[in-house]
Amino acid sequence: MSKRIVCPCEDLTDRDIERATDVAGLDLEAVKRFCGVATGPCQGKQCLLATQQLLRELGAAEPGTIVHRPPVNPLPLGLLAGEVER
Amino acid sequence: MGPRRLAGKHMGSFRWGRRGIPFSEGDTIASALLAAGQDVLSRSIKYHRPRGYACGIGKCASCLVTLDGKPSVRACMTLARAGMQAQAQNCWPSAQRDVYALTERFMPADFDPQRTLTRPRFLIPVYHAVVRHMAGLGKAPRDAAPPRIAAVAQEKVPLVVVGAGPAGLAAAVAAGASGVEVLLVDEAPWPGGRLRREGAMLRGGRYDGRTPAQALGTLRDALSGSNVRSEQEASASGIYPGKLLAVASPRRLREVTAQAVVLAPGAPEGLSLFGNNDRPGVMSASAAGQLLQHGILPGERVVLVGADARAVGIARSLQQAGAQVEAVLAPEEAMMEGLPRRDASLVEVEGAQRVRAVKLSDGTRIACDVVVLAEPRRPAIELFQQAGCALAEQGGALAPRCDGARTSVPGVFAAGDALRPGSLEDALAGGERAGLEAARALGRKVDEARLAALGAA
Repeated sequence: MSKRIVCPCEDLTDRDIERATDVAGLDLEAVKRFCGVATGPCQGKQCLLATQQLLRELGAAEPGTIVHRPPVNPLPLGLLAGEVER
Repeated sequence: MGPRRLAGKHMGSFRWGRRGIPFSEGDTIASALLAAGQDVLSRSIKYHRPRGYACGIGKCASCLVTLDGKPSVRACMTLARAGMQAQAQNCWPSAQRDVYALTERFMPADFDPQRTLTRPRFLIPVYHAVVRHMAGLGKAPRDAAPPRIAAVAQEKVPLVVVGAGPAGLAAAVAAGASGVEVLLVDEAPWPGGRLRREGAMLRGGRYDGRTPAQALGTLRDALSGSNVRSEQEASASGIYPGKLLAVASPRRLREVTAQAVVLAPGAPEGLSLFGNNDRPGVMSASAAGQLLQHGILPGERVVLVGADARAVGIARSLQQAGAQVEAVLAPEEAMMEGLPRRDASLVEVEGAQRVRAVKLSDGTRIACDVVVLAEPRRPAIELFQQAGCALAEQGGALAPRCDGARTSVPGVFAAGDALRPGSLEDALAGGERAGLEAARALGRKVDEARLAALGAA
């Protein structure tokens, strides 16, 4: 059986999300903390819709969303920690 | 089978591992690799699944490469230059042939090493070492000198517009023409957003009868010589209290304080769930449009998912470029204008390294080499949420709750697909409306009749 990938960054399948809800319930933020969905390089841009849809199918009335902290798009670390030119 | 270069002026070559990759004018690292037959651009973090050109606009992690020693650079957002050294990540000996991929057959679809590899306990450190060796992204350089950057600069601007797609450009032009000094920032190397990626003629509104490329030309002409400062490769990284924006450019970070902000970050496609939905050759409509823009046909035989005017436009663009549209998966009632519509959904993609065929819910199997997903689309709410704007659900996704272009936070305006995913015409009109509303909020006199007409649209 082929895998259905919900979160490509963290390699999570629909089964991973379902299993996370056993412990975390049907709240998206809690599911995120449990299995790591939406915590990879894209920070949820790919996976959030599919995860919300899965949680609704599992019975969530309002799965909610996550807190999107800066940086919104990937930054090179050197831009924050580089050597400042004088 | 697979992507094919249609046009482009040869500019030079860079290295991908040991291989030389030629590139054409305007190519990114990712588009040049694709045109050179490299379907697999990276390997996934745990299962080492092949990943290819997927979103085309820097919103996923499928094309992260190590570039000149720097790990996890987005290949689809980085223009190719002669002499660059690119390297695939998390694979050996190459992305195309990765021996670690053999391990996937021993890992079920909910494999979690932290839960599975716990017995016997004294072997846990060994398990950790093996897992860490096999999983992850690129490796940071060991002894590279810290990069040289400019000091953080502060700046005050009356209006900042985020996103130089149709809505952002139209907002900047409208506000600029009303006498407002504007800073327009966009993270891509080129301006235009959707206007560069879609080919269907515009209908209605100010740009009636023009191609998106012509509309882009008109907007850019209006910007030159105006009081709009337009910057590319400038990413609005965050919004903090007091309309303070962090703007990241390649070598400097700025704190920009604005009196008003227009946010037009768009609505990229999210994932759909079906078997092997991450296979190289499965890509968003944005990615397919971006490849056409680079002069590359994404594939010869297309299966497309999507039921709106944008999906039809993308299908037409692919046909005109020489692809065969095998099927458009859309419900019975969708207007598909003569395209081969099929009322079915995707069950599974076949093909070990790239798309070879799809299996549908009605039991049919269609041979194809590219699957284009025009939906679902997700408004990019990140900056709205940080600015404190109220959000509301709309068609299965969250979007800022707005009255016209006004969000719930005074001085923060929304435009384009981020407000409501729609047509190019909607985005252009919504952008103009946001620009005029922002100018009015900043005390400028604006064309009220025009604003009323746009509000009704």
